[in-house]
Amino acid sequence: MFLEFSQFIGRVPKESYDLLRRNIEIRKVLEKIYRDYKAGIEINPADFDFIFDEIFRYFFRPLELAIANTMLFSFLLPDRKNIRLLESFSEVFQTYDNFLKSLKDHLRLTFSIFERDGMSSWVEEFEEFFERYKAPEIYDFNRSLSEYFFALPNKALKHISESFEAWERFGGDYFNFKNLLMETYRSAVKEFINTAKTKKFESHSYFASEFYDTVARKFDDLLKSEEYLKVQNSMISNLMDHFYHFRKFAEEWLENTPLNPFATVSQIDEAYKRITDLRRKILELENKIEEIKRR
Amino acid sequence: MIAIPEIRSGVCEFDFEIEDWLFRLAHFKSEPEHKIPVLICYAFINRPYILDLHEDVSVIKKMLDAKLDVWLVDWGYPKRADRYLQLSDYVDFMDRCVDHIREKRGIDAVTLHGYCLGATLSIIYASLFPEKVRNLVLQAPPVDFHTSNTLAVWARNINPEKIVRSLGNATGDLLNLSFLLVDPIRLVVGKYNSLLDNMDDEKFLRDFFYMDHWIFDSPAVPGSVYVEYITRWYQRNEVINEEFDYRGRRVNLENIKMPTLVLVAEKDHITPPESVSQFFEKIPSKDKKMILSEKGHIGLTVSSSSQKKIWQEVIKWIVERSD
Repeated sequence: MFLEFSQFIGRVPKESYDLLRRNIEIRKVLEKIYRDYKAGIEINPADFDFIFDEIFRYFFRPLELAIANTMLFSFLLPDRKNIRLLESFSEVFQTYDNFLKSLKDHLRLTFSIFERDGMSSWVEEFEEFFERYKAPEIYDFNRSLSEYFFALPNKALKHISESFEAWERFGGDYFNFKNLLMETYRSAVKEFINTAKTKKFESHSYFASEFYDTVARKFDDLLKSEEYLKVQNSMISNLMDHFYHFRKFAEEWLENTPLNPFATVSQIDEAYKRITDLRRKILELENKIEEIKRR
Repeated sequence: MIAIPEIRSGVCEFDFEIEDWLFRLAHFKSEPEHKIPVLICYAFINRPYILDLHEDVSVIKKMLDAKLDVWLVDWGYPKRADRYLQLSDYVDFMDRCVDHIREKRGIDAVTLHGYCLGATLSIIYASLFPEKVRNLVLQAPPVDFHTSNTLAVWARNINPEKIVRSLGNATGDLLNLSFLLVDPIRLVVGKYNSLLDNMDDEKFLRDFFYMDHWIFDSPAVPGSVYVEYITRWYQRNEVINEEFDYRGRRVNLENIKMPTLVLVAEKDHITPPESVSQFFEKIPSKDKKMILSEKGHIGLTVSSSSQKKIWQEVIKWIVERSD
């Protein structure tokens, strides 16, 4: 079946479009498995793995994004690896700084030669340019870079550490979650293949329907099991802790920066809370006034 | 080319008579002939236009055709600014709407029609303000939240405070993912397989994409409301145990004496029949009826058989008690 996907974009919800595309791919794979089955070829359980990926990608994707995105920020964590990394950066910058100083001395010498030979004096202009754009003597940028963590407020350090600890736990939980779903699916596939050996499926739709029923029943049991509930709860808790502590880290940093002109989410939430409480009070007072008027 | 429909939900015209920050009260334009108006209170998850999906699937249109005066509470699309709203704020607004309708129509009480969590709110309201509720219609109502369906089991095992501390509100995307993950094979594959089997059927396509548009149009749930409804309803089951209180006043199911109609769906994986059976036995109303459909949570509203049979019966029941 040929589908012009472009006609869907913007006209149906993106979720519908996503799921429809996945289902088209799933159907193709299952039709091939059915053709092999009809031809007497033994069904290979691994052929069904693609279907699992297509179904559950929809759910795994946001979780995997949470893992991947945080990796980009892992340099913020005050651990030994990052401190060493920043120290080595500061050494590189220090070396570059020294190179620039040597270059400056060399160029001053060169311009002095030209000045002696009666050509325009570039020396002063060059010195002025150099002085204007280099960092002031009192500020050692290179050293500050390697000491970045010590400049952070205590609470910020605490939150970033907790954020990454939660992120690591979340990563473990996510892989447990994925494995649980995969094991259940594979067990359903095995059961279905056994059924297919004894039952005769005259049509693809009957074949597919039996397959999906088998898988759905297995998942009905899994999704209410103690093991699943424990993994799901832990995964969500750790993910939420990670988000929360990361935000608090950023907020502590911002709140301790005098030049920061932005309100943090927590500060705005506090304002929202007060506004909501005041609104409730106003409604209460309005009701009391109405009551008094009626008397 | 596949005939993808132009999706424009909502057939029936209305005006907003109250607009209060996030919440609004809509009044459908009509020439009603029955005295008692109907106030529809939908859930705070998903959007109420499921009751007015399109020309051929509209409970509201059927009510208007039966010459009922129909009003609807719209809980809006909560933003971060709304995260500190509480369930009591929702009940407050319901009371404000009921008083507005009573004053405008010169009547003492309304027919209150609650759907899903809107039905839970309606039960709370009716038990606290029974004098303002003439008839109570409860569609797929969760009252007893300690049921064995997957969603309820999950809700009893999560920590909503952590979610809200991190995200502010329970976002629409989070809710969408959860509602699909409770039954991934049937909802992610089964449903779309049936679409692939019917790509040449324009009516099927239209119904399918209208529904999908609604399903994925998920407002957030305000953070504090989310925490309350998970902990107080799902985890502590305060409503059926009559421990839930609104501004210090406890729910008392003994006050549900008004005519009560309960619509239940056998295959409802969100609010199964067991979530209302104890409530139905408990309430002292002498005019109570339960209608059981063989459909699911949404099929109860939108399926052809529901539109043709169940809703005729429901509207007839309402009309008989509206004068």
